[in-house]
Amino acid sequence: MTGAAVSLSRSCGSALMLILMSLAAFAQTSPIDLYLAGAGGNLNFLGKAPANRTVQEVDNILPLIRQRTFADYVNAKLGDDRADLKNLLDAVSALRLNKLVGSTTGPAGTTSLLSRVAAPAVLGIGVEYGGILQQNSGATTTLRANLLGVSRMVFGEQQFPYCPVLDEANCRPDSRHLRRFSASTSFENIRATTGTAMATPLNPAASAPAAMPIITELFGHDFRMANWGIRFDVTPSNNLDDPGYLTSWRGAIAELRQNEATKALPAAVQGVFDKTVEDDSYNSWNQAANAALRMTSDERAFRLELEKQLDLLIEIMKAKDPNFRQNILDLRRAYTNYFTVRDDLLQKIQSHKMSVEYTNQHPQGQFSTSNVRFIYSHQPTNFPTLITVNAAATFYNSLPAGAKGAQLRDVQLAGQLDRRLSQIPKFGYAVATFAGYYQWMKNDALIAIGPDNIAPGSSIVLPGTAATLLRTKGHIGIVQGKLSIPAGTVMKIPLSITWSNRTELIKEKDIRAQAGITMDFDSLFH
Amino acid sequence: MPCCLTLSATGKERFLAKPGCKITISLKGPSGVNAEILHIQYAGDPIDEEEPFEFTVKAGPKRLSLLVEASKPGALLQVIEDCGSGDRQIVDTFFFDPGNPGRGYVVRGVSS
Repeated sequence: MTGAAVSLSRSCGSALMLILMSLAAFAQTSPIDLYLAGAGGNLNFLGKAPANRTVQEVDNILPLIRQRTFADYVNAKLGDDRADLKNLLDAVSALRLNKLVGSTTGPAGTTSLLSRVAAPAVLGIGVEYGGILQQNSGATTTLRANLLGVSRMVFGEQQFPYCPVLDEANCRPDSRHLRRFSASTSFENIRATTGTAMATPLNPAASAPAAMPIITELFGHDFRMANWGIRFDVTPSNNLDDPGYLTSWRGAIAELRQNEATKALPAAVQGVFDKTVEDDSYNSWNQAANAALRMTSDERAFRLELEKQLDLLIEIMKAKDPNFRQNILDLRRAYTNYFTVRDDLLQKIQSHKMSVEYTNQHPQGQFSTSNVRFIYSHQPTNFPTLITVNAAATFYNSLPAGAKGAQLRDVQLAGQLDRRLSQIPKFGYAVATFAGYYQWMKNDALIAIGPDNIAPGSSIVLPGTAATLLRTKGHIGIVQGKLSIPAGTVMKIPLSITWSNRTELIKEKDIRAQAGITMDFDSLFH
Repeated sequence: MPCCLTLSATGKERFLAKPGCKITISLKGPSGVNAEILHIQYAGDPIDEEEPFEFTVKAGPKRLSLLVEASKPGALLQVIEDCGSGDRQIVDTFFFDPGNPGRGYVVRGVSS
């Protein structure tokens, strides 16, 4: 088994263990708790004597008002909590500027100079071709998953109930914490040409011209894992009383109003309720249930009676509507879509977003490194402009025998400005990006040479298993301009032009243009 | 102009109203909280996506559905019927639950 495969299996195993531990650690939510989740002050009437409770107060707890949690209740009661796997994956907003679907910085072919704050809700796959940051022209594929999204997908709603971004403080701690974690792994597709391949330096700034004369035998072709990483979102909650937030909120809600997920919701509600409302069977149930619930003695009795009444309603609705089960699934799906879009928009207006990211990089034929990165983004005004800043340091995981230098490899600073442009009808918004990148190489870069110490195709004897390339330490600067053109809900075409003062290995200026394709498959799982 | 909606005392429906009566609905939140109706549907028909949200009462039990959002969870919101000539009545008061932004009411159109 290759080193990359071992690392990959170790990473997958760790992720699986984490998920399994989370399953064991948290109790399953009961159907009635699912139904009443978030009811809050609407249950205050339970503090009154039964005779003082009003019909309307009790009505505010019944299914026409609690449509979404009623659908969850039915789903839990009918024992098919996993039927909506697809519902948990949803539309990813094409409007979003700060979503990372490409590779994080580092591997071959990336067209991004720095990482952004947010990760796709469940799964994002980005494939980008070309790139100045490394010399080969292979493809990089990145898989990135959010731990809450995966956990809900795998273990169901009862285990990990919906947690609104707006009300995270009242979410279950497990859902709140899991949402903050995402993990990723990137794969490179390295294609051999003439029996040799280019050495791939360790880092974003490790690019070199296509004709770079560092040729040595590398251990593999085709796909290989380039890196894996975990990210923790440390974004503080918005101050909900801040006038700036209230202004941004109005903008987000205006966008939400026009979204297809919002427009699709009423039809799904109609499918569940209208038959039984218009033939009065729901209304008769409502009258009886309301009277019974008003007379309950305390909260415990209320919950027991409510569960009994809801079960009765399910039987009535099933009898009246042969498509009831499907309609419930459609309603849950419609709400999941709506919530995904809403949460996405509300996350977008969080004024100061921050993440910490750890990436374990495995550049082909090179020494593995660890990168710790702090990512910050901020939308300073109501204009659709996003500022992102990265600060990072890279360390060698271990120094090869005989190598000179320190564990610290380099320090990086980068800034990026994204500006959303006008909408292309039916395709979405184009985004213009301007970015700058600075890297300080503490020491000369290390590259690995094969055990025979002879460069392939030559008789040149290389100096040991780790070679220090002379005069590569120092300062590297890169400036990039990029235009991302939407090509549908899933695909975007980034075009960029990049200038650098040098690469890690070659002290020459370089200017390069790139074209790529990024795909986000979350939106396919509607 | 008199208000159209009357609270039902039975619990069988939320409101009673005369068929043909034209109803205008709005949403109000407390000071410092934004509250908006995103969508309104009555008797299976979408009404409008922008204020004023108006519909005409039909005979029989029909579902009125509102999709509402507020900038703060738990905010006390009011659904208001604008009865014209400056008259208004509060027809529903509730604490905003972001997990249940859709609200449904049965409006029964009755002649007398």
